[in-house]
Amino acid sequence: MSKNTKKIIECYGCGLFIDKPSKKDKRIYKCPRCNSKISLDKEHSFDSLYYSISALLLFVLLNIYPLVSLNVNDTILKATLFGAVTILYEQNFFVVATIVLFTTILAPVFNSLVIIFSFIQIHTKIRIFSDTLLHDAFHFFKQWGFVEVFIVSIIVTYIKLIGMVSSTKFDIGFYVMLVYIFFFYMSNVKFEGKNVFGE
Amino acid sequence: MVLMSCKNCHKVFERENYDNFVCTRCNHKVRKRIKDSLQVSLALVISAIFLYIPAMVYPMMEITQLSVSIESTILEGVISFLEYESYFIAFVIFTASVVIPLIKLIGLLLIFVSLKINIKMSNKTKILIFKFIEIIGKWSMIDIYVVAILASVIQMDEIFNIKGGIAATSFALVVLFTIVAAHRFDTRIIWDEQR
Repeated sequence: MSKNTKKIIECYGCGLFIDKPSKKDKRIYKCPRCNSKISLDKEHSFDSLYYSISALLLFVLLNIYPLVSLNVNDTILKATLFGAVTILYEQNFFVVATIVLFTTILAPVFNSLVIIFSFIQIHTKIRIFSDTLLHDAFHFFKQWGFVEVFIVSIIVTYIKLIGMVSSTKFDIGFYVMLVYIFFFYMSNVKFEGKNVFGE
Repeated sequence: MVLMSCKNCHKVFERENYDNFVCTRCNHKVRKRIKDSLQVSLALVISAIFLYIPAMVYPMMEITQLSVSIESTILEGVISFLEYESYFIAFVIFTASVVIPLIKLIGLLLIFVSLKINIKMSNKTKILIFKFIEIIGKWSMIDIYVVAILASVIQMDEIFNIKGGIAATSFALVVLFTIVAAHRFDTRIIWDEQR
């Protein structure tokens, strides 16, 4: 007798096939064999689109303003996100600069763009990218965006700098980045990658 | 009849056997398990172990103050935080840059070796270690980002200047390789081996 495969889900922790829990049930499901969390499909929500657009706008803003600034002998020194990447290229740290560029700038920006394009393709007849490309790109960029690690690094840098130069302070870019992280995180939480297939 | 699911889009299929096929939803090849998952992940972890040595031995940062250059390794950076009495930050850097990469390398190696050699460890424990490694993976990037921000902010030529050290590349690659190794490893084979 054939099974209704739509009601079955595989645990990718151990490979056990189990009955898919109901969406109405809000409990966190765990695999009975390996105890891994079973991720269920999320409801399609426009919230992720709004969060993504807001995140992109905030990303532009946070690049305009410095993250940290300090005053040494009347010379004001500033750190920006792009500055952190470009200085590594200038100092010939090509590999490190590329990793930093990708994880802090490209991956988060493309992640938000993929969400926006997914909504455009789901709700209009415009077809720019294939569904598979959007689905894969969403998961790839989601995995490689490390903005939350970067913000902790700014705090560590601040503490390190304040030990050397007492005029060190967090600048507007840092506070914009805190808000950006919230919007970026929410856009990912509210988005279900499989929705691009329209099923 | 057997069940197979697409690792990419999670669609479940009922098939006659475990032969590979193309997913009808996302067009990716569906396999029972990721091809050569253990071999690729093990190769990446071994490479990361070799890179971890220069990452710890060579300087991560070069600070020039009034034409005097001082190079500092990751551990020397931790000690300098302790000297400034920034104990919490010293703890954060030590954990993120020394302990976490080491836990990742040892943990992954232990899981991989346990698939070939009989080690008394339950599969649930292996999965728990693996999930922990997956979660902490990216946090080792803290030191790399700190160097990048410091180097971009402190640029006053010979008066006050901070540059990245040669360990930065090795360390960034250690982080990168361990993240890819964890991502590429198919944990389902842990359960296959002992069936």
